[in-house]
Amino acid sequence: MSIVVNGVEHRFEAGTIYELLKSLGLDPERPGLAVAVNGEVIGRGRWREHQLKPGDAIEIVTAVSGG
Amino acid sequence: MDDEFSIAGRSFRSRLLVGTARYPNQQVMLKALEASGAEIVTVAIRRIDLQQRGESILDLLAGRYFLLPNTAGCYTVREAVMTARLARDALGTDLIKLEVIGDDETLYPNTPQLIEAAKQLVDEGFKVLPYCSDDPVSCTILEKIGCEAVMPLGAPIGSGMGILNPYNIRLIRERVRVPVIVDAGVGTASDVAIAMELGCDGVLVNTAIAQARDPIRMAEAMKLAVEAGRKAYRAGRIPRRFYAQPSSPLEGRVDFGTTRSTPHADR
Repeated sequence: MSIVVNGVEHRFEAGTIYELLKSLGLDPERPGLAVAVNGEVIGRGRWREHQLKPGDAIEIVTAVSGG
Repeated sequence: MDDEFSIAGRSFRSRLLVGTARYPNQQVMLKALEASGAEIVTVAIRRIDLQQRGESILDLLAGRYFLLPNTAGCYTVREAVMTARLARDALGTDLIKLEVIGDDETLYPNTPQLIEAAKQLVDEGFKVLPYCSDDPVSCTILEKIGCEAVMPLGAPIGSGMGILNPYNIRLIRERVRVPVIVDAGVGTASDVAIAMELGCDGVLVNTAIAQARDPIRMAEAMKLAVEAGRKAYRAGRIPRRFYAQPSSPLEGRVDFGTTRSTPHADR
């Protein structure tokens, strides 16, 4: 299916947020990541259960330098 | 510790908060943060770069500093609230330095949107530290709706112009009970000392350190300025007088038979 990750179209087999992060080479167990799906923040505790659907817009963010 | 600084129930020894952006490189940033003695450092929340993943700032700072996320770059209530929620989940902290920018060139806060965003976040259990204008009325409103501190600007972000309206900062200090932290506009150590002498509880500095010719040395200067300014405030300055007042005693002076004159004596 096709989803949008951080503004870029992305092919992904059906699955959860946890699986998406893994497939992107991100470690879901490490702190510092947060995820929103279609404008709603999905807390870390729900990453293993939240199934992504075709067309979902996913934001994956982290902390960067800032003032 | 007789002069502890606390925000939202957490105590800190250092009253200097330091931003982590715009340093020449990460090594200099780390050394500058260390030299500043800061315990609270600010970070922004951005999309993770999926192509190129270097060392994350979290790896460098976590465990050594209290990371205070900001909502920099947000222009609306919705953006700021979303960013705060993401920050909370990413960093596991309820504290948020709330910024809702109203204008690209001055980076002045959009006060109505800021107040609305602060209300929503306070309702959601956040501890909100709003970057706000140096206006005592907005600051009292922000306090009333439950913000844990107010962070008035000294001058526009990154401008280095210093405390442009010390009178306002002093009014704010007199009118709110929550901590007042000057955020933005500081150029050099004396600006920080002035903010602290006005009674502010802390100062947040980023560009003035990061872009100084020697960021590490400037970080130490800022640390000393915060300490000096705070001590001077607590010590209580003398009132300003229009005319001089001799510091040496007038009694027992040697009489050489000359007359003293002042401009007034001939009138």
